[in-house]
Amino acid sequence: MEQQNDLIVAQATPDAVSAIAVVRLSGKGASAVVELLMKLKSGRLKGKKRAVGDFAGIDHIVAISWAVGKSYTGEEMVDLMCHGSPGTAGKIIGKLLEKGARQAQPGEFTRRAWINGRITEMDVLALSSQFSGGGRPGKDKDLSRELQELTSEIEGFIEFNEDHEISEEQKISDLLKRILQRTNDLAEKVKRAEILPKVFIMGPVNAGKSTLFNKLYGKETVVVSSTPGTTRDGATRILNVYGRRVEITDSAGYGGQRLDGKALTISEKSLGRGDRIVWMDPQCNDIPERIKQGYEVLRVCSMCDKKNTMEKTGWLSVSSVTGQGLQQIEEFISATEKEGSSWRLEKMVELLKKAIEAADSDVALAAEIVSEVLREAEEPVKNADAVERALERFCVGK
Amino acid sequence: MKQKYQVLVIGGGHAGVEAAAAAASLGCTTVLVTPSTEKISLMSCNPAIGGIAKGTLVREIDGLGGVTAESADATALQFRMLNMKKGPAVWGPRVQSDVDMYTVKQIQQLRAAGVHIVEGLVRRLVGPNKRIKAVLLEDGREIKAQTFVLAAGTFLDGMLHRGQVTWPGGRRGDTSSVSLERDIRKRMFHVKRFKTGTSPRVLRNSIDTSILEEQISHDLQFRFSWASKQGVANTEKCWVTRTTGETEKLVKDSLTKSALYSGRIHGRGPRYCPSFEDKVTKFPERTGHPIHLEPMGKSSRIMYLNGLSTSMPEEIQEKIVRSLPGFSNAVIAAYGYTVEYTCFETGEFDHTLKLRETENLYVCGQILGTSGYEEAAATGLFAGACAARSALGLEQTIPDRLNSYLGVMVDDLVSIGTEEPYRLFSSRSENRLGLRQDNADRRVFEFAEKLGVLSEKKIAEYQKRDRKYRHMRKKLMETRIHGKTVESICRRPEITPEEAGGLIDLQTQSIDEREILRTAVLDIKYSGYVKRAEKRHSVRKRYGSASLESIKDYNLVETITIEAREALNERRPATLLEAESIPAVRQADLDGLALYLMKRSVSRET
Ligand SMILES: Cc1cc2nc3c(=O)[nH]c(=O)nc-3n(C[C@H](O)[C@H](O)[C@H](O)COP(=O)(O)OP(=O)(O)OC[C@H]3O[C@@H](n4cnc5c(N)ncnc54)[C@H](O)[C@@H]3O)c2cc1C
Ligand SMILES: Nc1nc2c(ncn2[C@@H]2O[C@H](COP(=O)(O)OP(=O)(O)O)[C@@H](O)[C@H]2O)c(=O)[nH]1
Repeated sequence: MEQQNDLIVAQATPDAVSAIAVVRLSGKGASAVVELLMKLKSGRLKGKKRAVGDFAGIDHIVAISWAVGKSYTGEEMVDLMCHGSPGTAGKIIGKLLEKGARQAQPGEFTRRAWINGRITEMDVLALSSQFSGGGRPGKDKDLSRELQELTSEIEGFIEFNEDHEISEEQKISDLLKRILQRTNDLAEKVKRAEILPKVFIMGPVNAGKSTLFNKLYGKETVVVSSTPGTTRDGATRILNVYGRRVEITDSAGYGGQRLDGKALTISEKSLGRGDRIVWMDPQCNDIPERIKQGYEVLRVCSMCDKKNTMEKTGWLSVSSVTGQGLQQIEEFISATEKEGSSWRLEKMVELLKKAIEAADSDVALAAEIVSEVLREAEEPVKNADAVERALERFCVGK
Repeated sequence: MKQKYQVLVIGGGHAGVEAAAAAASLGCTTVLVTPSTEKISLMSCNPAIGGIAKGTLVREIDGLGGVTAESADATALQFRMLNMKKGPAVWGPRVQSDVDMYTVKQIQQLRAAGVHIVEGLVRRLVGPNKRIKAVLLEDGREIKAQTFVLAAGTFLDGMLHRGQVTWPGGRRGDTSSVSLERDIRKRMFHVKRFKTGTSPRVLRNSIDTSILEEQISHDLQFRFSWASKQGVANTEKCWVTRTTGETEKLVKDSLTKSALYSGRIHGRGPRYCPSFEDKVTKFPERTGHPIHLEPMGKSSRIMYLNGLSTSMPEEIQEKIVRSLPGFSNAVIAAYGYTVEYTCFETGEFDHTLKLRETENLYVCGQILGTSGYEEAAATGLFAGACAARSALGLEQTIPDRLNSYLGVMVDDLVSIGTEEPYRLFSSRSENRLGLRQDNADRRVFEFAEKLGVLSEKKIAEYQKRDRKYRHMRKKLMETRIHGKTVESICRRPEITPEEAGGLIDLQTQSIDEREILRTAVLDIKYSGYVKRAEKRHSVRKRYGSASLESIKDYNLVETITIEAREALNERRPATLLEAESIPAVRQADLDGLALYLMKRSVSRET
């Protein structure tokens, strides 16, 4: 996995001719690198400081630095304001790359901000499409507000037949398209930024871990992401299981040929609260204490198609060959409390596409679909099913 | 009078007529008391029945055994299906009506139903609030009954306004009901004042229609009622003209002279059927508002100007009208005006439309805070049926929001209330794709049977249609084209109901059958959406039983918005259902509350 606070750089302003361009540098050592390139005294940019001067002979710039915990990303960070003439920002970035910085992934600043608790998931959702590379969470209307406005446009169009002109149809379809664009952008951004629930497949060598992993992965029809930076190595995949995006890791991929302390430690290091483990062992041996205590574990008695395999209570019999038990594994994987937002946004995108299709001949249907989109936008973690389940637990009549 | 009726209806407007007919259809001895027979079901405003959502409601009335649909069919001069390009769920059937013939047809239907009509103006109710015993007429007669339905429309202390002039009246040419209004106030019912306006009428021959856009009937063989034999004839034309910049300017310059804008009227008017003064004030940049020229009857000399509701002084109305293209020589036959009247405050009546304070007084129509003939007729039908059921000692039943616009309207009026005259909109329903005009009878049948309003003949006819419907659904499911069932083909958005229907083989196809087939296809097309609406609805219905009393401080409920937390801390509702009526509490907040309660009950268990 990419390091949490390695030095990343990107242009924070749109890539177009403008008076001023801003290059943003975040991560450990940000101030030191700038001090070096601007020939400033060491420590000059420690904390919240402002410095004006030449930057490596490229441009006369203004540098603003922030201390850890105070910046947008929550890390040590420097913004470099240079002239907006084409190429200037690019040269500055080039120089910084030379000095060991790395080009930031789209949305990576935001992701760091999120990880460092500077912004909430809702803020991320509220970010506007103008928000590229950096900047503050958008001040403009949130998506659900824009959807509400679209809804009242459509309703007016439906109810006040006489007062509306033909051109209104065009207007509605344009509005729909604009919202689709925005939602799509947002989905992409959130996808890059979100922290997914993780499931680790663990167990002794030759337990069938890789086979199961490949089976799950191969079954996957919608491979949601191959976004660099989220896929760590060959043994980690993002799967879309029952509408949930989940990161699955085959712990053998961490190089542990045997289940020795080291492999376990590495896997454990990546484990966080709420992450879960599929523990596979055809022998159904006791699982290590540390794992049993710390995490939610699904015990799997693998290769159950073979002769003389064990059956043990509390262990799920699974065969990657016959497919037995695979559904239960998928259910376990998808039943996570942690839940990203991108799947919801993706669903919204799909619905909006449908609404656009319907808008020409059946505005009423389009309106219904838009209200579904609105419900998605307004209910980040809840849906009718959750409420249904919730209500089933009430003592009726109370 | 010695005779004691089972149901007595006060007021022969659109609401009162349906109420009386419904009560009679349940077998009650029913009397309708109204000042003048010749004005029964008079269309006080525009000469038309139906429209978006309203037309669907008329078809529900037909499914509920009401009279409005048949009368509208029999007296229609022109038919148009509004919103034809906006999807079948929001098609709005609307007819131009012959106003005089409409009254005749309504009276005929009342007679056929066995309703006794008494001419007279009710001065006051007799007996304590809890149990009204009789009504006292202005001429001194007293009529006793077991249950009562009040349907006094725009007449309760009605005041008419035009320019600087104000005079009492229930509508043009009718006296207002002053003493009955006093009686209602004396009885301490909570009331409010609403207002509504109407347009000037012009003489047909004074208009140059040759330069106007013509509107003729859509030829769809449409009928509101399954009992009507043939489709609407295209006997009359309508025309459309548009306001010119001059029209708007005239109104803007004279706003202070309008009764509406000079501060004379205190009642609240309808936002959605706005006066022309309102349109000009709220959309100052707009011009070219369409004005429809509609005949008041077959070959009538008088034409109604739909869209030009105003209470300007007469001389300004003259100028406004003459500013319209084709109207330079127009002669106004009746000037527009505004009526201000008393109606009941939300909360005074329950879901059976009975005043809560009483055991036997039901209210319907305009005095519930509604606006429009169709809304009046539908609430009238329901109130009349409830009054009859009460007189017969039968259990009450109320319509479900999910299955009918009647259900939506009754629930809205009782639970949400009105700050302005309530007009029905398709968007008031959470199941719009399910509440279509084509399937109205199917949706309301179960409720109609429970309510007891359908004659055996109507039930038998419905069952015949239902068998056809089922047969068609079966065919749609069984017929395969290239291995795919027609049912699955129906679901594709680009397939129209006609195309899908054409794929199955049905021997004869009468107009009725074509319509039933259409319904079958549309039911399939939208079934997913309808099911989801039902599911959301059933979840919501169960909110009622979830108590919120255990939540002491809503600030601790992280699953809801801060806005909702504040509102809930202040209002402290007892149940989720009550929480729902608080405006700051959104659907997502309700779900959040439900989740919160669940989490707590789980943690307590363990
Ligand atoms: C000026 C005006 C403008 C309108 N504008 C609109 C509009 O813009 N949009 C819209 O949708 N609708 C409008 N309408 C409203 C429409 O007319 C009503 O919604 C509809 O008529 C209501 O039906 P109802 O049966 O409740 O009352 P009404 O049709 O008003 O009928 C009430 C009946 O009760 C009778 N009555 C009253 N008091 C007594 C009594 N004490 N004893 C016996 N009988 C009594 C009356 O004589 C009348 O027959 C307007 C009405 C008026 C008058
Ligand atoms: N019969 C059978 N063989 C399996 C099953 N799963 C794995 N194997 C075989 O067992 C061996 C070890 O599997 P592998 O997935 O490499 O184990 P890992 O070391 O835990 O990743 C391979 O030869 C697999 O083909 C199973 O469900 N049934």
